[in-house]
Amino acid sequence: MPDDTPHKPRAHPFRLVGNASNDAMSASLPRPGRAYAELSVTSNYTFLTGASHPEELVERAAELGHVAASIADTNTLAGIVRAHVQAKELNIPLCVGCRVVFTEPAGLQALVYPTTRAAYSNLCRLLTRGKLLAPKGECRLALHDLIEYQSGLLCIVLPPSVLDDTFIQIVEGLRRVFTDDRLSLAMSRLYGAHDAQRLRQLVALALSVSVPVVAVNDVHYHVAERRMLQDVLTCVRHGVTIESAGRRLFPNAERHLKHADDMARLFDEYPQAIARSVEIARRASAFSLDELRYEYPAEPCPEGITPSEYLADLANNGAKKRYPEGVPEKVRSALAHELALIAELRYEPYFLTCADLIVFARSRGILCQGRGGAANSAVCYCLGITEVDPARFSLLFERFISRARKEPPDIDIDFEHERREDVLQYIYAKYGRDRAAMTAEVISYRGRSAVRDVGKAMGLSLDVVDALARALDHWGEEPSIERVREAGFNPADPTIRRVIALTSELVGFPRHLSQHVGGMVMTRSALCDLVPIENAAMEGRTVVEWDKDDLDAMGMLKVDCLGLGMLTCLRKCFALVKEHRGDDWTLATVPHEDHAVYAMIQKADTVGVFQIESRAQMSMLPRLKPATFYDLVIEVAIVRPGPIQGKMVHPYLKRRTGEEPVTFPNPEIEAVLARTLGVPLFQEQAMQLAIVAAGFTADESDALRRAMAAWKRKGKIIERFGSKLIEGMKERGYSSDFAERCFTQIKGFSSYGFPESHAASFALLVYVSSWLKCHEPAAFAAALINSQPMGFYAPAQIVRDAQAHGVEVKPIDVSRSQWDCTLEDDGNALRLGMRLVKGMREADAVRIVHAVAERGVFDSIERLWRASHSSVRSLRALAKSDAFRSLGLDRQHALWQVRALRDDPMPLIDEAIASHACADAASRTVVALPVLAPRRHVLDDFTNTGLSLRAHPVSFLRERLSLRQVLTAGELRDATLCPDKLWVRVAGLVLVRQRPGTASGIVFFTLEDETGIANLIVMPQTFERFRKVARTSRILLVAGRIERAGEVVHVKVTAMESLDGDFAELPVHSRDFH
Amino acid sequence: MALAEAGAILPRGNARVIDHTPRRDRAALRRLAERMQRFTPITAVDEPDGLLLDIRGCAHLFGGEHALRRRVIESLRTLGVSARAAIASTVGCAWAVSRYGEDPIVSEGCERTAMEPLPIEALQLSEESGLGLMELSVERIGQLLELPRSALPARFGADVLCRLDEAFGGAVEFIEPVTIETPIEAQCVFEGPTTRVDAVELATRQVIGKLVPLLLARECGLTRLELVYARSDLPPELILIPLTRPSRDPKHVWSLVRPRLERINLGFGVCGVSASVTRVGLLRHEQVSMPEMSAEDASNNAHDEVIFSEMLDAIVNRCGPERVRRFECVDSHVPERSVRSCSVLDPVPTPAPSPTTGHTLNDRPTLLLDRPETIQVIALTPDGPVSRLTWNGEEFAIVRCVGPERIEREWWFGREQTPTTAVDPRDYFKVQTEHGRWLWLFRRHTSQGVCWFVHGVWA
Repeated sequence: MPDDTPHKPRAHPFRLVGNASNDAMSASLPRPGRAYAELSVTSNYTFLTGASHPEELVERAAELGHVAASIADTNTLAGIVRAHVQAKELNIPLCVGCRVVFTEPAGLQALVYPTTRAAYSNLCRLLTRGKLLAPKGECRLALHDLIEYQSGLLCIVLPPSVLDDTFIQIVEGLRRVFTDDRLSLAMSRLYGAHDAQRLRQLVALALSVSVPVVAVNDVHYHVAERRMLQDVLTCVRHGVTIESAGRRLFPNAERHLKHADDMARLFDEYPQAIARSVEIARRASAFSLDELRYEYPAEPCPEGITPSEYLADLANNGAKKRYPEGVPEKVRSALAHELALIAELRYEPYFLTCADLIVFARSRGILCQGRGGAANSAVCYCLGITEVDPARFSLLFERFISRARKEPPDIDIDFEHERREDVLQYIYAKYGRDRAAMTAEVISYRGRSAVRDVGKAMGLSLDVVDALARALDHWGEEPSIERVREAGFNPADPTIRRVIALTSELVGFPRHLSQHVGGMVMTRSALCDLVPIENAAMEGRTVVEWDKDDLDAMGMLKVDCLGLGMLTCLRKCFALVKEHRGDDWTLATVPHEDHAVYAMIQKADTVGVFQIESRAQMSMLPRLKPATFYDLVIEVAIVRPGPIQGKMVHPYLKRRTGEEPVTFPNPEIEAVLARTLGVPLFQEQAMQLAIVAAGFTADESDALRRAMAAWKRKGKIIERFGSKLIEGMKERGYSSDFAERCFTQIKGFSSYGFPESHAASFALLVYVSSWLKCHEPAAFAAALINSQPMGFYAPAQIVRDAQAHGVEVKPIDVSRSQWDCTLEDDGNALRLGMRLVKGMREADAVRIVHAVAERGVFDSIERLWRASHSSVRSLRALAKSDAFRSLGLDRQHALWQVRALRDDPMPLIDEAIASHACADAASRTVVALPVLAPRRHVLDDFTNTGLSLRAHPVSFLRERLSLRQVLTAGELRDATLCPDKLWVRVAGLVLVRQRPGTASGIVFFTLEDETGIANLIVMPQTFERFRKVARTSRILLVAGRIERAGEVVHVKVTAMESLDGDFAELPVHSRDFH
Repeated sequence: MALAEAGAILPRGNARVIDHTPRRDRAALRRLAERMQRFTPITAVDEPDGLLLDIRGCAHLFGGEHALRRRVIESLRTLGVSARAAIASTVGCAWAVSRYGEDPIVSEGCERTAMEPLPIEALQLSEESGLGLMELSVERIGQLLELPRSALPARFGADVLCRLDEAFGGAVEFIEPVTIETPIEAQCVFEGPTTRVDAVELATRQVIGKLVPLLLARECGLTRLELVYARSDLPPELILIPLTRPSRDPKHVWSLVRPRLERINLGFGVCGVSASVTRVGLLRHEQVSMPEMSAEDASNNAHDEVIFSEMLDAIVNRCGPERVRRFECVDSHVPERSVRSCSVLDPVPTPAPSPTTGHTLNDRPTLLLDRPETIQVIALTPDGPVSRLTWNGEEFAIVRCVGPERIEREWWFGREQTPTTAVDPRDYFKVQTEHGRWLWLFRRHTSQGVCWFVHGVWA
């Protein structure tokens, strides 16, 4: 295997620049001899065809001493930036190319190489045209398209298998167009049956049309050993197994990069073909991607002011607004420092662009907030992009913008998830479709998908493939022989061995391009001059071919416009509060540091609150007891895999509760770590530690951060930083023990450590949502339900929680409800909205509400139907949800009446029946319908609205449960009734099943009964023993022991039993997470 | 429930998956229906899981309805089927009671009482109507009957009333009984054993002749014929005639039987001949052409095919079916794997579309050696053309040499190699000797250096 440590997912070479070893160069200097450059190179960005990464191909070309490396993928430039970065690293020229496969004439192929910046634009425009004409992932190009964009392009025609007159005419036609000796005819020796004859024919043909020939090797992989993977990819592409693939595979392993000498030997009769490759490479490498000068969109500045001055103006004005009683000195100096650096790096238009988006969003009343690194910037705060007050936090601007890093700053902005589309459309409208597009996201093979495809191609039966894929669930990404044995396979079996080996090679291969969730690219000039654009799956969206790493590497601006459900919820909540209370709150104006709010948070009474509503967070709250805003920042950051794996949670808690003294080696460290009691919890602290304690420069510490994000993939780099860090600390007189500990903690951040700025942005949303929940529970619950789907809890739990906080919740009623949940009784009661009704259409709800508003409460469903023009489907859904009580109809009688109505116009024959039916629907004859048991009503409520205000399903079982000594969730919480380690039984509706990756197979269940919530811990062995019950039950009875830690109560389960028998019709609505 | 979901419930995912085969279920049900004709001549399949027996006038033959019902259940049990059965005067009622009822025999006029306590499902309503009633919590037929009859069709579709009427005898129901297919066979019994060959031959031809109209009636031809000759003092003699394509031409069949008949031992005499067709194939009726047209039609492809297959039949029946083989192309780069020999009686696969890469048949020799034979080769340059070779002690000068064509091993076969090294190619050359003979050579790199082999010859 050529690649011992497959990177998963493969890191962009740009992320590793400066750190990659130079082994490749020193290992084998170019052998003296003939010169050659391979020009027909297919990388794995020609999906399911090429079997090597672009980086590998470039590296191998450098190793072999080729004059230049090149990449020419089919109708795409998606892999070119990776190749470019790698080529720069290895100091080898790169020919940027593309293999154009035409649809007209079908099957014709040509390699094209731009020689100048203008020619590169032509290539991008050519591909863009082909892609925009075709559905996503395809390209439709005719020969005349190439002729239109030929200027500056070198063209190598790849001859078809039969050299007929049509082909000769095509070549002659192209020769007339590609003047200045820019056309060549490719020939290759791939050890076919008639190579010699074919070469003679080609040379004769070339001579007859006077076009030079060029030698190529149709490279599909960088070394011959990749042939097997290439065969498997071919099988996946064709959907066949390897045994039946036959001649769809290549007959031999010759399509790898070859040494110049080998190529010269193969073409010893035609040295001119080898020489031509060098000449083309020389001309093509005259263009480099470095020439792409990305320009920020010109933000309109007032006349006579430079962007720099304009930005400074905006920032200073913003600062005055932010600090009405005078800008603090700290902020003033931060602003000056930042503005200077921004001016130096000429990033002003970028900030102005973001500010413009914010202004637009605010003007439309769309809530938004910047997150991530941007929150480290005082400029961003003053421009209104972020909400983290630099006066209150220690910000690290280098985390955001670094002089050493040649990449633009990264501003992520969260918008309300329901209205993010408005923002995107604004961007499209402002910059036009030719100047703005979405960022691509490369979807790569991961362990599971790779083993699935390889297994299928290798002819394993579906159940074996499934079992292998399932086994990968537990292995993470790395398939290994031991794991295979554990999963019950024979590791000596050669097929299994091959599947495993091929899978580890395939992992990290790109599989297709998708669109990034919110990344938008904007340019000053036309975007399709820089990069090809293609259609997205969604109508009216266009996507560039490069992902965010590619864009960063090329220094292109992108703004991540993300959708955040909580912002939608907060906006709706503010609106409800304003309507019923007259208070006009915003994110910034909600009263700070309210004790009642913190008291609520400390009790873990946080259902529905942003971030801290998850179970892990909830069990941390009573221990951490947040009492200030900064505690919330810590709370958000600490319950993350990073700090948990870095083992920082317990030291922090101990210090906070005073069990362990808070000490610092010296005041310098104290300055960095004081706010987190000496335990580093944030990325910024790790960076500052490196600066303060180990003498790193700010830029070096930023490199350390990048390494932290990537150390799994490039373990040796962070080890190198590690030794530097430890040495540096020792030199400055720290004990090696302390240094080692710091380093271990820094490594812990590698996976999902939070930057402080990010945590602070989130903590603000946590605080605001907690405040609303505490003071406006009815409005908060209504807004939460109206913003579904979002968050952790379903409407049933939100309603239950609101009721527990004294909110009166009223049922859905056709004469009172709107589409959304509303507030009644001066904002103290919550009226459920019709949006909860399954199968209800919003348009119908609006019609009904309108009709009711106009005519008052109706006296029959038929009248309502006729007046509102609502569809019968929606009326039926309402009837099933028992929403006609105000008409004096219960569920069944309402349904009986609705049943007689028909949407579609009746055929003539049925007219009589219909009019009769309507008549009898209108006449309120009482029909003898069966009487429903209360239990059935509750079940119907659950089935049709997901919740019931009548009773909890478990309450119908309570009598029987009590006989079996089953406790309620409420009783579990009582410490005197249920002391630690007591054996108990508890039963309830399964709300959540969760198997966090960090918990080594432990599954957490949340049960709900009529008194509240019970938390279960199920060990893997128990889960396996009761697998069927555990995975499928809706109502569960469990036995186990109480585990009590302070306020937090868990039941460690030893046995489980399903109670579904009594509630077979209950819909499955637990949320299962992994 | 999706299969993946079911697999996830089972420990370690040990689900055994058996495909649903509705066609086989239907065939099995049909066979059962045929078996049930011992109780009544009118039996029918009621898919997916029922049988209908019209026992009008039959019950007394078995000692009354109770006894008949018991015997039907008993006879199904001996076939390995456990069944529930009910007797009623309407199909709908019997259907409902057999599946949901308690008391299996409903006397005429009592359908309503019998069905009132049954669930709505017993009415075989369409899914939509059934769900509609369930929504209203109308779960029993009795509850349905209490609703105003005139209001039902508008709400739940016309089929509700229709089903009710069928069950209570207000509407007429039809059943479509199964008919048993008679085997295609014919026989001829002599008055006494005969040893006269011409008599046996004549009888055989008559028997074959009798099969023709039976085959015609079903629009098929025979592809396997079994002839059994009963002999007075010896065990019966069986002649098995396989055909490569369906035929109902008595002359052709006779031409196949005759040479076989010549070889049988008549012993002390043959008592009779019976012929049965054990396999048939579809053979469409054909328009008989006018005599003057036949000359042109003789060039017709279809006609050629008939003649060819009749010749094949003759060879197969003389030499035995296993001895006549056909070669079939296999899509593979590796020469020895690219053809396969199979019986001429095996069905001909539809040829796969030929891929664009790789060799064509013209690149392969007409004769491929079973085992490549070692040869000594002299080439002027290491990678250059072959100039002389020695094969079986004979030396040839080579005048033309085309190649090399490099063919890589199929790495997915074999158990020994580690999965990651698979570069082990053979280089094939097509060479012409001084005598004009074309040979197919290959070389491969082994531990002893480069070895050369002959792998094929062009005839």
